[in-house]
Amino acid sequence: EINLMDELTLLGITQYYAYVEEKQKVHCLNTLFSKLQINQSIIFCNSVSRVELLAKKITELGYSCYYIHARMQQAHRNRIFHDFRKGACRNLVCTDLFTRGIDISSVNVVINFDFPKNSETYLHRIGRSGRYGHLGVAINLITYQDRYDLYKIEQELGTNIRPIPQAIDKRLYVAEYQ
Amino acid sequence: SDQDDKKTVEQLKVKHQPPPEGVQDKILFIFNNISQDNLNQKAEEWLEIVEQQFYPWAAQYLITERVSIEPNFHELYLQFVETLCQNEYANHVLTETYNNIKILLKSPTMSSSNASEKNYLKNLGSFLGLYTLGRNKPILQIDLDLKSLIIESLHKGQLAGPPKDQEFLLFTVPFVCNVLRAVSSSKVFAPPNSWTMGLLGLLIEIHNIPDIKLSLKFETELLLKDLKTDMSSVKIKGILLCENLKEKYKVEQLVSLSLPKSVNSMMAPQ
Repeated sequence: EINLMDELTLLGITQYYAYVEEKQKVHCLNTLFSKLQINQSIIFCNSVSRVELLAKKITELGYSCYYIHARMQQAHRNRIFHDFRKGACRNLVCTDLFTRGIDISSVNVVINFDFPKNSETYLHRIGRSGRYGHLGVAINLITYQDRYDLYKIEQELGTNIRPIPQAIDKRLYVAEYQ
Repeated sequence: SDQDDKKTVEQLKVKHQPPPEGVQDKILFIFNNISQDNLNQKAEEWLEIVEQQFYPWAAQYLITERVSIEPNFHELYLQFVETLCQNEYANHVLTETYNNIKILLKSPTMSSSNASEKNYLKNLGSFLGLYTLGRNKPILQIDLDLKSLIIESLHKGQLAGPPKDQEFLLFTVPFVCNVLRAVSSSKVFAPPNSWTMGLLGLLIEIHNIPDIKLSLKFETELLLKDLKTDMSSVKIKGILLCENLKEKYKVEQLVSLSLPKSVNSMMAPQ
């Protein structure tokens, strides 16, 4: 019996939420991408169709982005993930695919474009594997409907998700600024 | 020492006139989204929004906010600068690279095992190497004298005495190794180029000093491996044993740290 949640840590990850309406989400994403120093990022959505929709939308807006989701063939997924890891593109939009956390050190920003429904999913998306974890920032876009889930997940994981400040200190998510 | 550290990092942000916030946002957005596939498109966008008067700021941004901490995208950012086809901007980028390297080398905390400054310096070294040697362009002695830098840091350390005698080398040797790594992709500077071989010989002399730290040995061994060069094939000239040099470096300030002259002369003074 393996409890994967034990292997993941939120240590080193600074977590924020931004309270938005559904229709403001893309605008909010644009703001983040104009203010943060992002080496590579992963953006999570809650469904296959939303992944495809968002990837299309932000590609039009000039983002460098790939997408992967659960309904794609494993070989295809592996290929894209491999290319992303090599830095062929900067941002990856995806559904929940990582069961052992993201172990790419260049990913310093993770965005929950859609907030997950339970703490296990949250941990799998945001938590890092490895003994010390990597430094990073996680930003959750929270709508009115998500407000109870936010509280619940915070409680269950015993963690602190704070409102996003005007400016985010680089030392919190860029390793070399420490 | 924490305060010294902050001071040095702050110093990296020399005051250049910044563009309006809206333009800064767009520049950040571009650098968050450049990839191999969209170099031309992003270069066009960049040229549309960045006016010439902001080139110094934009060069400083690239070096201090991106190059110094994102070694995984060095080659990409260099290709981006080349795609822009703006000599003036490219010169500013090179000047910023040299300036920031010198600020770090002059840092009062250089000797106190400051990990982040050491990493900045290593990253700037890789970038400088790719920008110059990797593209068959020399690093001129008046811009940065790598050989003197190593000899000076050895003698500076010897003056400091144990346990600090190798601290300067711990900064400069990894830096120089990172600069030199780029010769592997150069037609001109790959071994057996004599300038390169001279530096490799010096690094091996350092490597062969009794009681030299293992991490220093590894840096040189790793470089030789990357350059597919056998240690025994490098001629050692005994530079470190030369008494005249010892005297010279004891009295002189760090000669390698004057402002970059060749790059500056290409641009009009402020």
